[in-house]
Amino acid sequence: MDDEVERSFSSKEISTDAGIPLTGHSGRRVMLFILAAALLTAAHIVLAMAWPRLAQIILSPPEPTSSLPTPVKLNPNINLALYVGNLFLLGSVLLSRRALRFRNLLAYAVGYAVIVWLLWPLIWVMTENLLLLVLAVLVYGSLLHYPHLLGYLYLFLVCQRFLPAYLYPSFILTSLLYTTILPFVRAWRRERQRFIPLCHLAGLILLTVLLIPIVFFCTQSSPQDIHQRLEEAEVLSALGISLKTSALATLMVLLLGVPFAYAMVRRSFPARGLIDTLIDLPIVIPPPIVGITLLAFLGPKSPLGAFFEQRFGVSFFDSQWGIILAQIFVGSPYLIRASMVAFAAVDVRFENVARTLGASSLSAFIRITLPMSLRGILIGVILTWFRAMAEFGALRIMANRPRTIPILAYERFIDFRQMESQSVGVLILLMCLCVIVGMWIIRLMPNILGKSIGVSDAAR
Amino acid sequence: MLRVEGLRRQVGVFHLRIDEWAIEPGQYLVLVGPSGAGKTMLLETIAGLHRPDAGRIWIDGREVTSEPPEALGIGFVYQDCWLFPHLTVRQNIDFGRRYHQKSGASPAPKTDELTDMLHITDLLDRNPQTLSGGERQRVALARALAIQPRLLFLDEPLGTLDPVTREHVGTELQNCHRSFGITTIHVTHDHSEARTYGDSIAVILDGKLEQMGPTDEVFRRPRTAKLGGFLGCENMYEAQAVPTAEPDMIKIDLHQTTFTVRSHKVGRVSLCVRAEDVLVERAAGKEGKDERDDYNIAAAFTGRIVTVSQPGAMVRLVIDVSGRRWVSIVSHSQQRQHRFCEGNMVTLRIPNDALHLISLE
Repeated sequence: MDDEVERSFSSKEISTDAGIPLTGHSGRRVMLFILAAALLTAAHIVLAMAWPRLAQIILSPPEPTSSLPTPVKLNPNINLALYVGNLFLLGSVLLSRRALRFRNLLAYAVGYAVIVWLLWPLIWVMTENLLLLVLAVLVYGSLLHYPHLLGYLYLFLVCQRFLPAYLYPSFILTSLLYTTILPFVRAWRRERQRFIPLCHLAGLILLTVLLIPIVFFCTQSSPQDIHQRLEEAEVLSALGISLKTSALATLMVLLLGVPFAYAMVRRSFPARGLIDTLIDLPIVIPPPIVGITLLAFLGPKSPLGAFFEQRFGVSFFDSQWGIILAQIFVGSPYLIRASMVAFAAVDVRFENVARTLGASSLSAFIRITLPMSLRGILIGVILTWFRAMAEFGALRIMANRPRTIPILAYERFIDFRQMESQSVGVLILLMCLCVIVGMWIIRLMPNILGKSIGVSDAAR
Repeated sequence: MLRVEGLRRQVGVFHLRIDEWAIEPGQYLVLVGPSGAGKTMLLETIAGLHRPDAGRIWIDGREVTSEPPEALGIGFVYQDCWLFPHLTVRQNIDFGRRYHQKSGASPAPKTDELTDMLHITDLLDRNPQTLSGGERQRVALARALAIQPRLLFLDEPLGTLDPVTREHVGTELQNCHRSFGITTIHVTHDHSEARTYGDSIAVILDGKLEQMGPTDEVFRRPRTAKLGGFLGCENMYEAQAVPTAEPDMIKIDLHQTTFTVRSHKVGRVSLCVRAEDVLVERAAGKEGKDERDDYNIAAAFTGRIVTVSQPGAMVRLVIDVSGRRWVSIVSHSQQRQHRFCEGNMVTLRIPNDALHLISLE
């Protein structure tokens, strides 16, 4: 054991100090490398000299009448670059400290052939893309010790070769699949677990169906296009209205809904179950019906609407008040639910202890329960905020003006068809993606509560 | 100090019924009862965390039945500590101070004093999640003591700890009680823990307070057979007690042996002897009782040892006395002296003061 440790240590030292391992076994490898390098050099020189004839034989298109540019000239610089790339790859294979078994070597050779096969045809289209091949070879050599990273390279190349139009969405999605599915494949093989990997696969299929159009759509507009949209007064004002009204709506839900959620969790009262179910009512009702209902109740022709109009000069039809009202209506369930879940996760005994230490119920709520459930509430705020911002159906009916972003996108689509509405759509989508990233970060926040629950469970 | 009268609280099918309960100032009382007996609910109700359906509670002569928990000054330490996870240990300990600055004539113990006493000074800046079970319990105790409570409720404070830590924390609980003199109620389901720590104990079964008194008294003389069973009295037999000519003396017939004891319980009784009070001797050549101990010994039986086992620090003998199973616990030094083995014939002698009769009528 000690011997082994010492040996591994010393070999490490030698390789870092001298650059090349000098022991007997490694010496043979160096010899092998020099031999292979000589062969490679010879091959490249022959290639450079014989290129024009070779190109005629191998690369001539099947149909001479094809419009593609025929016999490509081999740029000597590219040949040189490719030579360096190959040499690097050879060095990585033969001089690596870890001994490569024949099977691995074969796998790498196949991989190399795949790269060449995938990228070679690009020469038909563009000579410059040979550089991509060189780059791939370099990357391939340096990835030798990280086999799982090679997967991403292959995925990129395959997407590039077969789905050039959908390169980015398909690459992002396939690499996502590859990342998450790899451990499950291992579990499948090792533990003969079948059910959970299958469940996972089902989820991934669903996620793919959801994500492919979105990612595809996002890659359809150029940043310049989006920037241009951001300079349009109409878009900016719609964005401002959307942000303002939805923020106000969220604030209202926050002020009323969070205390309500706390009461729902901590107290039992008559008809609690019914009220619990009623919270979800806005999710069930179709948005246009919400618009019609609110219009009937508070519209200019309704008694209450008329009263507000005369008494306070507040109209709920085609005004920001109407927008906020509709947004509160559709967005409230998300924050209330999220807060209820967060509060329920804080054991009442935390508050009990705080109470016996002298804190009033309000003080215990502010100093103990609120900080511990902050994460859940924040997630609820974001959900409600963006659900409010996304509201379209109800606004279309009761508060079409001032325009919010979804209304704007819809009107652009009706007036100018797809191309014009596209960049607005991408703008909104990007905002939503930022939100998702924000929620992800909140989820990554140190989970105070989870940890403490875990510990006490373990202690129990 | 604390007085409870006619307390009633019902949750689902469970009833808590405490008719009369009073605790002297400065006492260290252990409230013992099986899981689900309502111990925690009783403490929480007294601490004002639940409203009782009926009944009244006094602390220091002041009625506090409908006062909120923050007004009572009761320190509450739960089994799982419930240290606030978003605060450091120091912030946890100091949590209640801001509410208790003005009130109270004598200043509350300083954080440093408390932490020194409980040996947690080097944990002050740690996060509660990183503490071990014993450390968490000490911090929770310090947090409760920092408000200088009038009453200290400890709900299974040693329940989750390993035996070694349990002993350390238990010692510190007693030290704290000694140095601050705070009236303490310590809840546990473990009767040996109750016996170790309590000056006096109260037993609660199914929401009812069964018996309360000095620890030894309750353990030796349980009021009902059920209570005796819960408190770990292993030798309990039903017998018939017959009055004798002498007043206050009765005659009991058990295992083909008849003996008289001083008692006035007549009729069907349950005879109850704790295993550690049964004296065991190898049945040597001479039969019968030793003359010297005669006045002290109520009864003696002869039996055969069935099993010898060593749970913990003691040796446990199971002895077959004419078909009935008797248990005796002897110390290791006694075992070394007598070398009890399975199959030995032994004499069991029951001292007068260890024999307890529970009337079943």
